[in-house]
Amino acid sequence: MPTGPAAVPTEPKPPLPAALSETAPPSAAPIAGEVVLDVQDLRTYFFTYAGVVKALDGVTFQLRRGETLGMVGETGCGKSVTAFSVVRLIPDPPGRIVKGRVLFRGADLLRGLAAEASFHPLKGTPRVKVSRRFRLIRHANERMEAIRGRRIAMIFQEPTQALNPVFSVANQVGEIVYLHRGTEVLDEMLTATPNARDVAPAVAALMTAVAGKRLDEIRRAAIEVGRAAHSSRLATEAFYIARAANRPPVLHRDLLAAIAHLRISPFRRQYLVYRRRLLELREQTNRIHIAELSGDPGKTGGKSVVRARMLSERLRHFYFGVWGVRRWVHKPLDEALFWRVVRILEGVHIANPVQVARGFPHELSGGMLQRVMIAMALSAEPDVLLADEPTTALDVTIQAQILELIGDLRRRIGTAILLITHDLAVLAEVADRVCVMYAGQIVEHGTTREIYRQPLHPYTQGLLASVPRMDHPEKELSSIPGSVPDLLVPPNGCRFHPRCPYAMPICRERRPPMTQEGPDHTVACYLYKGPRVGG
Amino acid sequence: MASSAPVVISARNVRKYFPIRGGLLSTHVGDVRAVDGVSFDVHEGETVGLVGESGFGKTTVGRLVLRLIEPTAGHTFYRPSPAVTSRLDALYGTLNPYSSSQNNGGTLPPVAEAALRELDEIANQYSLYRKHGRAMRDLRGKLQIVFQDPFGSLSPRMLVRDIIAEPLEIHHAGTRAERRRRVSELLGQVGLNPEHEWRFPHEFSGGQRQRIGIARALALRPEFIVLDEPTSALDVSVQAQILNILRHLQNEQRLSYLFISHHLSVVRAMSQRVVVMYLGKIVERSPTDALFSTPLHPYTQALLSAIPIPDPDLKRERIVLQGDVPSPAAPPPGCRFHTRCPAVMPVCSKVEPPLIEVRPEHFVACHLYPAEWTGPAATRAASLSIPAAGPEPPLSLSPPLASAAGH
Repeated sequence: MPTGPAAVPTEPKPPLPAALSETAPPSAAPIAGEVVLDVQDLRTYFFTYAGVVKALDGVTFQLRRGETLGMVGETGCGKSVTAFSVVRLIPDPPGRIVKGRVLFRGADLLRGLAAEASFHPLKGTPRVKVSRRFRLIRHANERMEAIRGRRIAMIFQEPTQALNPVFSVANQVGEIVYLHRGTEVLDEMLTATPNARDVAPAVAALMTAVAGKRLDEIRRAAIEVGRAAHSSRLATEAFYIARAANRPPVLHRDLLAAIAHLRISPFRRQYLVYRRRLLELREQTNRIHIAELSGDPGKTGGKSVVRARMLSERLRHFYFGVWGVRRWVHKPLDEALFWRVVRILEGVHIANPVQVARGFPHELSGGMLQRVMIAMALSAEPDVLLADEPTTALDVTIQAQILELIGDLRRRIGTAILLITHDLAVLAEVADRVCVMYAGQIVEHGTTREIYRQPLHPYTQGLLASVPRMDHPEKELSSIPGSVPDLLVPPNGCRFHPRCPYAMPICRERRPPMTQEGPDHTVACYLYKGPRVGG
Repeated sequence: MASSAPVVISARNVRKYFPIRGGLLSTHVGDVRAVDGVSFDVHEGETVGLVGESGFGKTTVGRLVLRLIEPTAGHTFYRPSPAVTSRLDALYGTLNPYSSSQNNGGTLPPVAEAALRELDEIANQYSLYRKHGRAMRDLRGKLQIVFQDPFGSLSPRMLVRDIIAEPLEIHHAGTRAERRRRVSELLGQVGLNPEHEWRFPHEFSGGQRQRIGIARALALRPEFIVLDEPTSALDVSVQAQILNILRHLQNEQRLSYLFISHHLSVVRAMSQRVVVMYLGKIVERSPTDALFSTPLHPYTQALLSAIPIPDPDLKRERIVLQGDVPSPAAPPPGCRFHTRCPAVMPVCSKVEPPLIEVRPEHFVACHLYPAEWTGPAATRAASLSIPAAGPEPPLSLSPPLASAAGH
């Protein structure tokens, strides 16, 4: 609820900010387009004093543009480790990705992995000594910065712990916005034409719209004001000024002040130009990094990366680094970012984005925080979104809101989503395909319909049978006996055999291969005799 | 069925306000109305589900009926005789018209004064909150709780056998050898091995820890157990194990449960009757089947439609509630749900709807029912005089939303 005396009734659902931008995003992204993320035989181990925990042992899946792939399994099956491995956020030490390929649009995110460390088993103990080459690891991490957050974004499980409690929401989202869309924001600041005379007719139109008390008209008039001044920031700001002000004179005065505020003094302008250079260098570095990951021999070159880094350091220590001056010259940028954040928060259906942006994480509810996290993750319009149990900490009604929101954004931006959850019911509603994980391996993979209609693997069958059904409440719940095995000493052969009702002698000896059982349905179980898939 | 069995726990008009202190001298500036007048009965051998989103006072209700925290007002009765129950109903029927907030501070008519005195007398004799010392301690053995978080509710420094034996020691139950036998018996009942008693809690998985918590609650052979989200921290496969154990124990020992959960499909599988809470108040109370087949309150309808169903072919219309939950420190006037209600009417923001019996055993607090609603006092008194068989169920009263929620 707006705190100020509202002259206008509050808006139930703010229109999407996309209406403002010149280049409207594609209305409907093609579902299941080309493969954006191709994970092959991913193995992530944790090297502990008690031995090697094989958290991921040969995980293979593909993610296509605009599709939602659900990943399901019990706690400790390696679902989160998969997501963290894809963006290389596995804490190292103790963890390391030891093998595999993660191809993101042709760039291998794990390029040069084999050289990063060598492994020496210690005789007489289950331990393995890992010799890491830290220079290479550091370089790999720097390269990942070109991908992480920008191309592959992530939503974490616990929204209340993912944000920093001592910075405001605007501050934290603004930082992300600056990193991913900074050039856009700076260009707009530098090219805005805050000329009161040019904007006057649009302002007059806005005043009449406010008198009409129709929110959609106010919104449209505010956008016109912004267009007249070549500033989308002004459009957002004018809308909230119009929504909050109660008397026309106050409104007019505030609007003029906002327009005057767009003017930037030459000294500050110089600073913004430098900041833009810096971002450009960053972009350039990122391009080089991605070229390196793609293995493009022509563009590889550590030297240009070093040069870019040196330049950015020099810029950072320029005279704007003087205490106090820096803060003063930086202020317009912060304000521009604030209004950009407000616009982004509107996009995730937050009803009072200005208050939320000014607020601190502890002031917001879990659902609201999760929306802020989604806004952050999607502000760069990433190609891939890794959602690690995004609704587990939320209530069902809020969960419904968040799932609706994620689906809506997927349709609008065409992002591919890896949705990790242990709730099979959630996946049935939103996923196109489902892969079932057990003890670090994918045991079944298929379209959602196939998995739910005809689950093949005994583990999938057990999982589905243990979900209490709203439609058949009388049924006695069946459960899978036992629990997820200790991955320090995983069972031989099929890792599910100790809990499997159909275990055969061969299950104890050899790991079952992935077999094709339908056009888009594969399973790793000896009960099925379809043709083998892959290696 | 259940209503013929004797009542084990009967909560009447229980309130819990947590004071907010603030200002210069940290004076009392307001209240968080966590629980605001909640009444329900739990019969022997029955499970009552308590449903609502987080922050609506579910856990507080669970703790209040066990007297783990002291209430601000209201009473809870342990095994009240039918005579006491009927007298209480009559007294609350007399008092209800005067208990609303408008009458605060005003003088009460003599009828109400007398009722209040009699209520006080009955409470002194039977209420859980008026018992002291030994009497209360003996009762505590009959009333137990299983906590939500199996990782936080077991002491990491005690062996499993000590954890389970602790209630027995506190209540001086049996000799040392008997207690030891009881511990291994309990471990068997919850599906753990006897050798597990020599381990520490950290050596167990979440599901196994919850079994230990259940064994501890069962140690004193209780009659009533509050299950405070016993499976929300567990995986579905393990959840099914725990729910089956709880069901089995209930059949074996004729236990009564208050099953607190935000997971409606679990509640449906477990309970015979369901209480739906919204912001400290009961909005709907009914037998489970009736609630899930014909939910009456718009909040219940939205809650039911928000539950994902593990079936990709079942696409249904979902009621997505807009906005966030209001704060219980400043609950909205009138019906507390009116800020998010899809079927909101002008009256909703002004008058608080009473909990009335719309169909037999099916209570709802919403202005949509019945249509010829006249005022809080009249309806409340009328609703209490309706016999259990009740009038014909008013089928035509279903709000427009019922069709959207049904599936």
